[in-house]
Amino acid sequence: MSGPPVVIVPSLGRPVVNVPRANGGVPMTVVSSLGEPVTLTTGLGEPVTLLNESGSLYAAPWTVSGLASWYDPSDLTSLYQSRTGGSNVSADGQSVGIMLDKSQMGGRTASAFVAGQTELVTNGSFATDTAWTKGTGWTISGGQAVATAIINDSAQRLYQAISTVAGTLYRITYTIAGFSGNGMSLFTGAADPPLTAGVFVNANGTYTEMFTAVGSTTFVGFGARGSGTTTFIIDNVSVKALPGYHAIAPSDAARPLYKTSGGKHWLQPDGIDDWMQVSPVLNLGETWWHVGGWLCSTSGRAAFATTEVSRGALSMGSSATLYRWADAAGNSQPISNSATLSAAHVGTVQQTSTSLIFARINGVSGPSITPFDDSASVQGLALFTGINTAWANGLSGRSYPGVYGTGTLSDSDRASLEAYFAEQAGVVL
Amino acid sequence: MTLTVSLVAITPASFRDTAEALGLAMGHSGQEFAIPLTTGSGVTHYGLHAWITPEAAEIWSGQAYPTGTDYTPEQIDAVRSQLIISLRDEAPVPLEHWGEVLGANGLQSPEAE
Repeated sequence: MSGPPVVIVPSLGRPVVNVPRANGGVPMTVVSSLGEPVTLTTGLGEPVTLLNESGSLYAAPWTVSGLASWYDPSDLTSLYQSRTGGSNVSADGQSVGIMLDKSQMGGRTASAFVAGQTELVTNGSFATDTAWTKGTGWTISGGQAVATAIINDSAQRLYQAISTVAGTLYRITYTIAGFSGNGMSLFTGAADPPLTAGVFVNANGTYTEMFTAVGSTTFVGFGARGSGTTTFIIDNVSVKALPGYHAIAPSDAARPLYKTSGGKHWLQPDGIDDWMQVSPVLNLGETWWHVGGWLCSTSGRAAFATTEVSRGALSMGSSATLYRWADAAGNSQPISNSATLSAAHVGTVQQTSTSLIFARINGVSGPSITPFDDSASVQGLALFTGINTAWANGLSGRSYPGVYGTGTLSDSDRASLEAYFAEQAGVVL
Repeated sequence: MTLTVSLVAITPASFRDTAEALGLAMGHSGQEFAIPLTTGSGVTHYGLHAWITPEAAEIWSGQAYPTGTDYTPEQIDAVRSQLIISLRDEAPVPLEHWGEVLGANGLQSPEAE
């Protein structure tokens, strides 16, 4: 582990439970096994890692071995309203088009992580007339690039090549001023000049968009859209990599809502067509685990899918047997003990081998079964759906913060994660 | 941006490409009508549910027209006339809204046939 500072809390016993995400200046309550709360306030602007008096690490999500993805609706800087980027979520009831995976962000907020990422654009401030290829109608001077009466033509673009990793998501920001005419947009892609248009822009402002790289070099630029001519000034271009397995709504209608109440934060899919694809493909393989907070409002709905077939999905069933998975014969079987369907809970699912899968509700283990062999199916995680290629009988309810991982989850890490996510879902274990 | 209006929109399957083309021109994905529906035999319709702003609800209800597209108001009206559109505010439950619109139009999911 590296990066975040370590705070040793000698007064705490073991185990430590209820450790909220700790950001600068935000009080956090830490409850020891003695049940006595200790309030800490950090002014560090970064997360802290807690050690108990014996020096053992309290396993926060970002420290757990095998962590593949971590979705954290409590960090609004990891949520974007549009499926193409745009503004961060800022209030209850807004749609979520992108939920960033924070597993590689070292416990920082997404915004803090992005701020520390390497700038990939050369001369994004246009301080000099260098680094950019200027099509017809473009000039660079006075610390900005100016497009004068350009039309929607690849020969009239301003662009440069940046180094990228295929499949990785990138965030670009830019500022438009002096806009007049029809429209403009970002263009990206492997072609020189780039051809894939971003969001249609027809007003001054600062814009944020996302694009997924298709190769080791991506051309990034700007040009006119629509018919007629467009004039504008562009400045402050920045591109940062966002490594990880991000959850992205495949359409506008598929976006779940962000909801918050009582200090808790969750996504709320509608149970009709809301779901999120994880990109790039996250193949959890045949040994994997999940821990997270859930609330299921309607019986028999799928929380997440690991493959293209419904037999590779977690179904939240009746109140008597909340979690169900398909057995070797393909029949849905309970893998958890009784729980209240409509209550927030922390769910753990572990497939420890090709012959064993089981679940835990609020820290209590259920029956194990031999899972359906879905290894021949197209693998890949998707949220709030029963298959990973479309919405299928998806969740109506709440998805609190949670993690997905590969390999073996140790008992101690599992206990820590369950405690961590119990607090975030408002559950007492 | 406050999303206070629950929208259910349904297109005949034969009209889906046309409806999606208008949506694409308005900046949507072109894959918005994603849920197959039937009146009894095969997929006859496709539907969507979304939370939208009151301003967007005015467009869906025909009280306003979107900007930034090459579609004329007449063309937009022609598309809208082919759709089943239901708008509700006052905190509706999406599944109930969806179910009631399907029921009122004799629609169900193909699996329920």
